Amino acid sequence: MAKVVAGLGCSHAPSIAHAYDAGASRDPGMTPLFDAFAQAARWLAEQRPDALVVIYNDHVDNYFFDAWPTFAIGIADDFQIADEGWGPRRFAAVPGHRALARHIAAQLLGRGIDLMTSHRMELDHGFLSPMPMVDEGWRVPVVPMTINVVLDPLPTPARCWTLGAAVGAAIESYPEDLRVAVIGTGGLSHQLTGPDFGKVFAHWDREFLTLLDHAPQSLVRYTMADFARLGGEHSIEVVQWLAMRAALPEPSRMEFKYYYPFGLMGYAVAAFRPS
Amino acid sequence: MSARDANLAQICRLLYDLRSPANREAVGADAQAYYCRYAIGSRGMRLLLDRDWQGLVEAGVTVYLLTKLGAALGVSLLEMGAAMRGMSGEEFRHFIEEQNQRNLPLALLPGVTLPGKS
Repeated sequence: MAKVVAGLGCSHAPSIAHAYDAGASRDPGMTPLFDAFAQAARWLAEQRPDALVVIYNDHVDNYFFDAWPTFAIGIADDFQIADEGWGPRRFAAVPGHRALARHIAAQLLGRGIDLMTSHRMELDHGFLSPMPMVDEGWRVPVVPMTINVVLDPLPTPARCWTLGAAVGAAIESYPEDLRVAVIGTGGLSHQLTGPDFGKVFAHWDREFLTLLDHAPQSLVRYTMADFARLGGEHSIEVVQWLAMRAALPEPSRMEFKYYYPFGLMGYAVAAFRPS
Repeated sequence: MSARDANLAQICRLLYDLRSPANREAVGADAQAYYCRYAIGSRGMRLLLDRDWQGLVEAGVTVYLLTKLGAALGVSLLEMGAAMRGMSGEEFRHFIEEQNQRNLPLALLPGVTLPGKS
């Protein structure tokens, strides 16, 4: 049977992609974050994953408002790179783990989590900012999943936790002996509109990481509006970290965390493993 | 759907369509002509021509669509942000730099060397 062997939470800001594409050494302010990602990449490789389930959010690149999924999963042999307005980044299509994706989708639907299945999906920076940092060259096939944090009405953080827990259970019922890592991308604090544009809520980010380490389930009591108030309107992406953490078996623990409040973002990278 | 909602949907569509290089070229060459292809109403037209980023946000446009127009017109997210705050670029850079310094003690970077420190 398959196992969830690792969890990783990480930011997905486009600034990471810009620095990667330009050569990180040209951007001294970003090097601490790149060092953190490099350590996360080494750690992830040590977990020897056979598949990566990546929970992120689309930013109106793959989906449009005529059909906007609350939760979705990509079931395909590969996924193309989205053109977000600057031209697609120069990566090969990302290999998908179709059989695992199909299994997760069927299990979730069987448990009453009626997510949308996407059989042709383009990946945007929610996926593509961090993934070359942690699996350069696409060595491990992926199952992309998205949560709506863009278009009201939004799912509750509690429901995102339920989704993640069901993903974990679905993985562990997959008949093949796969080692699966679950990755949640986004956040932490940022605010990209209005008079507080650019504000970073570093104290809350630190508290969020502490809660995720020691009392992750306490975070399901927060609403999306709570997260928006505490970490800025666009920080609600942290529900993808909640879903990732919920996918891990209990007990699990945080192995390491990096936090770097810089520029417009509270950047973070944190790793979790069953204990 | 109210006329205002319909205009908003068309503004969003206009921005979403900038994923296509041909549309980016068109908006770069003649923004107004590109906007005229969509039934965005006179208010929508004014917000777009004025590059009123905060006005567009208040009309219901997500920043993730605005960045597509920014990409086509050569306006960075930082420039949009400064405008939304009512600051000059220089004032905004100063705010960010000051915030970086204030927040740096809260960083957690085990084993990572910070730039400019030994």
